[in-house]
Amino acid sequence: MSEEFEDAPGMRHLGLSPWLQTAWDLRAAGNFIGGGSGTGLLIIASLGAFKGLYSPVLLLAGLALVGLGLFSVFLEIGRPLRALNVLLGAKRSWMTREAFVAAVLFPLGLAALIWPDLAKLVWIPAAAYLYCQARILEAAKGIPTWRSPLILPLTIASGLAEGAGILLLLGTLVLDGGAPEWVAGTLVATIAARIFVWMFYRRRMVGGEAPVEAAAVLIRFSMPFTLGGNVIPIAFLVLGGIQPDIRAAALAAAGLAAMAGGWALKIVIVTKAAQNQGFAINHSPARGGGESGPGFKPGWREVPKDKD
Amino acid sequence: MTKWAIVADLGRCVGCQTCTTACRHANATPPGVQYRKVLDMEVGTFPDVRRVFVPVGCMHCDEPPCRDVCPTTATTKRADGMVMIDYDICIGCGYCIVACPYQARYKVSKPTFAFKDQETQNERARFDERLLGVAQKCTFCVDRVDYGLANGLTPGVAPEATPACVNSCLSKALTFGDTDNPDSNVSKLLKRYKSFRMHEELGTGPNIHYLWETEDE
Ligand code: SF4
Ligand code: SF4
Repeated sequence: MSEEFEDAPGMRHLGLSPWLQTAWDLRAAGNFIGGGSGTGLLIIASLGAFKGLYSPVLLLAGLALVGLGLFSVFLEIGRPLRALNVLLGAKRSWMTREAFVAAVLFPLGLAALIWPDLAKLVWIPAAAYLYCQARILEAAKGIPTWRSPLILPLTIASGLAEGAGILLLLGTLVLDGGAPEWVAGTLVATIAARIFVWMFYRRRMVGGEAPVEAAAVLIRFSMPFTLGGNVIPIAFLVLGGIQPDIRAAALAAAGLAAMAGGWALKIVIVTKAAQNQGFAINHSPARGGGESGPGFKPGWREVPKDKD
Repeated sequence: MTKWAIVADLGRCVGCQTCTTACRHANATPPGVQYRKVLDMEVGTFPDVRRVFVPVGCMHCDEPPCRDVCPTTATTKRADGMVMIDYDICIGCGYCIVACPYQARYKVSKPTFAFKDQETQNERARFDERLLGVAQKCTFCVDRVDYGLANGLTPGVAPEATPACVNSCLSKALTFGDTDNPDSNVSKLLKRYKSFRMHEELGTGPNIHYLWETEDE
């Protein structure tokens, strides 16, 4: 394939079976990584403010992550000078709604740096932002692994787990005495939620809701994700509990692994298990006076029904 | 009301790709971009194997997910059912490309031509810079349809008012018309023969109908 054709997606994919989408790459995944981790951190830190947790570093880190995510998606658009047009579609598009929520989240987050009491409110736009992100994926009806209703709880649980992980990691670095005790508990709860939803999600995709190739990607990812992103953080938490002398390092490692697991999950879902719908026919036609024949759905386990 | 649709007779299509070529000529699409293409399927297992040619493209869905996700309102749906892109508003975010279950949308960021940097006369005449970096797709040849309507012609009947792909089909496998009009060419075909639509279970309401049993009973 010559370089000139690099921009021409159809040229590379003239098959019938679902193929990996090329419209959104790592830059788009970056939006879900930064937005998910950043809002997860902001939600947990903001709710922590009710228990006396206040740290400008945590607030800034959360906002910076969300900002980096938005910048990353900005790099993906084809006509960046028109970026403000993204605000026009609020009637239907979750991408527009995400942008509107960002316009509340950033000023509020920055204001909370000056007036600490406002930190207690930051979780509201942060949660709305995380929800918008989940809906962005769910609305992409052309990608079976995204349009699943389970993508909603999965995205939200992972964002919270990533946020709790980052709080634990940053806590050991910037908070006196490390992150409060309840953060480790929050990490366990959010990881449990994430792995629980993941199991259902993976099962449904493998069971026929995703093209075979996308399901295969999820199957291959399942073990490293389960162990690396979910079991290992818990193991580190336990280790930190029973070995006080390495507690700080173990908690930081737990946080790091939980965050990395979430980032890997997003990279895989957005850029690797993102096979499109492909094509299908419900019936093959009668030809030359013969009988009509069965349907055909290349790249999927299920074939459409044969006869009416 | 009016609802434009294409009826594709799978029994008639011979897979000659003339519609693909006509579309590429009408729209001077760059290499790799095919608003209309004809899939070549081999269905069944030996000894009952058959070859099926399936014309696909933008289905101008009743409930287009591409429109629902578009953050800029560049993608809209006209009252007559045609799904359009405003190239002057689109930011090229590609969201509609992942939202379309029919792989009907493309984005090309730099000018490309059939013979590398040498455009053909047709490509030069029809080159439109507004299409760079934004989403693009089949428009059901909206210019021809609108021209026809403005001049009292019936789209799908008068060639000047009919999409280029339908005009070019040498086996008369493609028919264009108004499914909301019970007496139209397409309505009559759909009444007479069995048909299905692709991925109908997704609730998009696609407007390419496939006839699969046109032998009279
Ligand atoms: S086929 Fe795709 S591009 Fe065309 S209207 Fe439907 S969703 Fe939109
Ligand atoms: S690429 Fe253009 S038409 Fe498609 S969703 Fe983005 S702004 Fe809308």
